[in-house]
Amino acid sequence: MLAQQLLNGLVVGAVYALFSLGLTIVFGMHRILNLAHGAVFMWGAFIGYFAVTLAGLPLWAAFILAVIGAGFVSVALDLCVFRPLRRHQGDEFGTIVASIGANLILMQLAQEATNAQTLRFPFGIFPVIFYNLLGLRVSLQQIVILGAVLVIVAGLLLFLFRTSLGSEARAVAVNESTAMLLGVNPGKIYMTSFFIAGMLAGAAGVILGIAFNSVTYVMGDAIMLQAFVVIVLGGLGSVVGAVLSGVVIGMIQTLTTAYISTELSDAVVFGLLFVVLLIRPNGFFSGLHSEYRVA
Amino acid sequence: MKAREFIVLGIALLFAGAAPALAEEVVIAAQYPLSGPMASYSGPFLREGTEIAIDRINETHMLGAGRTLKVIIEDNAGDRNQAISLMNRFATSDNALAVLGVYGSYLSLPAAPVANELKIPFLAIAASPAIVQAGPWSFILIEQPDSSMKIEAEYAANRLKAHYAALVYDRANDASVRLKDAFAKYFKERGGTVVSEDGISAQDTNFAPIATKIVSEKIDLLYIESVPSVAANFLVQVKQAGLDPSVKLIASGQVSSPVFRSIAGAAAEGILYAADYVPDMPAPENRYFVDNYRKRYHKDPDQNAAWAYTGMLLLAHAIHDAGPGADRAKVRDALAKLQNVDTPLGAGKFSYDKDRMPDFDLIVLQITKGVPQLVK
Repeated sequence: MLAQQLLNGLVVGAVYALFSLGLTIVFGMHRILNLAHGAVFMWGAFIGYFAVTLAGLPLWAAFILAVIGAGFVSVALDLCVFRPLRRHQGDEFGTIVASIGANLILMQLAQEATNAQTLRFPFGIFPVIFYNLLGLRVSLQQIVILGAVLVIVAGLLLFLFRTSLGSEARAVAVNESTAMLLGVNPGKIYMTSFFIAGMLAGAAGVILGIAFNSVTYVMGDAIMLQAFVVIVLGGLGSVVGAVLSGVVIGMIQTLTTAYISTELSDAVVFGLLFVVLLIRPNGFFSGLHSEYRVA
Repeated sequence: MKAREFIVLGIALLFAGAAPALAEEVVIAAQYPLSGPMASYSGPFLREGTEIAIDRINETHMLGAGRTLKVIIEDNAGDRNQAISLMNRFATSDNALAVLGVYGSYLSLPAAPVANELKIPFLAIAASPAIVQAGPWSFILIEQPDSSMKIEAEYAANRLKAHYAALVYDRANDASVRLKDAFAKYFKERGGTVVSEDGISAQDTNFAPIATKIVSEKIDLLYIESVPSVAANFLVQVKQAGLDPSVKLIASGQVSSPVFRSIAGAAAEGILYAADYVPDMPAPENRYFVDNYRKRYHKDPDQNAAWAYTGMLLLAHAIHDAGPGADRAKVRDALAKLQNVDTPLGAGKFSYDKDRMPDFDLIVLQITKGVPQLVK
């Protein structure tokens, strides 16, 4: 059972990582703690759901639409909430409070749109196929989730470290004024980073919506809590740290639930956060953080 | 007297004469979790059941000639503080004659002492006896866990021939814990063994760790108690984790909701449960309720809608029995005396016993080929 539980933890941890990457990218580049990121994740799942159920699109098309749609929701957040605050030189606390407000508005819209009901993707939208690999019961869904997360993370790293736009983004993260002197348009970078963060959240939303058989307007709240632990343990702004930390948190949570107590899983995760912060205030992967971080 | 003054005087006299014939508006307040985490499985259904009941009560003049019902429906967001604040407001500012709702023991328990302090009849859509024990002004609508769980344990042992059970319940819900404990007690009394107990939360969506653990256990019965959407989601995931098809399924009455079947799909096949509400029951009040609910909302009512509808009917009967111009004390006394009221719940007749505890016959059902079939 241990190996099976580790696989469960790996899959859920991979999705935590995907979600947390968006949060950590925006924080790493712009020092914005976007508490509406969970709402973007939720809207990604809703867009995917409605694309399948109302528009009749196949899952792959609905997934792409949801990813792009969530990207636009995230950009809209920047344009409507964060950019005006930047113009008025709002402080970090004001930005956090504004993002809480935006989160509530996005949740309220989803609540109205769904009459607060829990929705699920139609049965059979994803083939229910299981394989027996080395004694493990592995579903096609788990394989696809892990594959998709790997491809997305690899694509993100390539973008950040192998493209000129990625270099410009990292330049803005280091020092926005200096980057502007070098000809970088920070507005474009803000839009790009929010779009990417939204796409990552949207992808996570659809994946979890299908994997956990549940799409609801409050689905962003729980994952936001996990994501805080992931990005703090991984080192704020660290891409690689978020990925590794996400997987570790997923596994710890799963093993605690299976072997200790379901009641204690959150307590163990947050207890771990507390202990790590005492030992490594900059996060468990702070070495990687300084080496590869976006900033 | 000038013509204009004459007309004004005539109009004044007309209104003065008409005043005694104006309808008396009776105000009842209801509060439900219309937003927040509980809303996905409760609030909208509760409101819809209430709206059908208002039409029923006013169309049939259930309160008596010349009296119409007005219901103030507010959202407590599943929050205890808001539940208490609303109870205060209903009693002091809105001058409601009675309060229905709050929903569930978690929210109703803190609201009950407030209702008793303010001396307003409070009909809680909940099962905890502690709500009734808070004082003479509070009542409950849902049957005691012992009644349903005793029946279910008997079916598990005798009909399903189960011996080893895994129990899954909502750890954050007082009523859910008591249901699970009652089932465990009666199951053990009938020779059964409880292999494991796992608490889940209504906010959880990832059940893979518990599902994997349960699949590895040697059990022949899986008991699940949670809100419909969560119970359904859990079943889907435990089946996907490879639960042996020979393991029998049993659940609390919450799974009677259409939401459960729509989410669980084939995973719900064979599940057995004792419920206090089923849309297909032939009781006349249920037929009216279901027909009108379907007509208005284009779907089947669930247990929550039936509870809210029944609660409104009970209050309407009490207000009628208390007579015109009755105060809260008379309504409370009339409510406590209700016997054999026609409602959609159970077999169709609802009474309060001498301890103000609800009394009606439960129904046992099993989902067969996707449809709940009457077992008892």
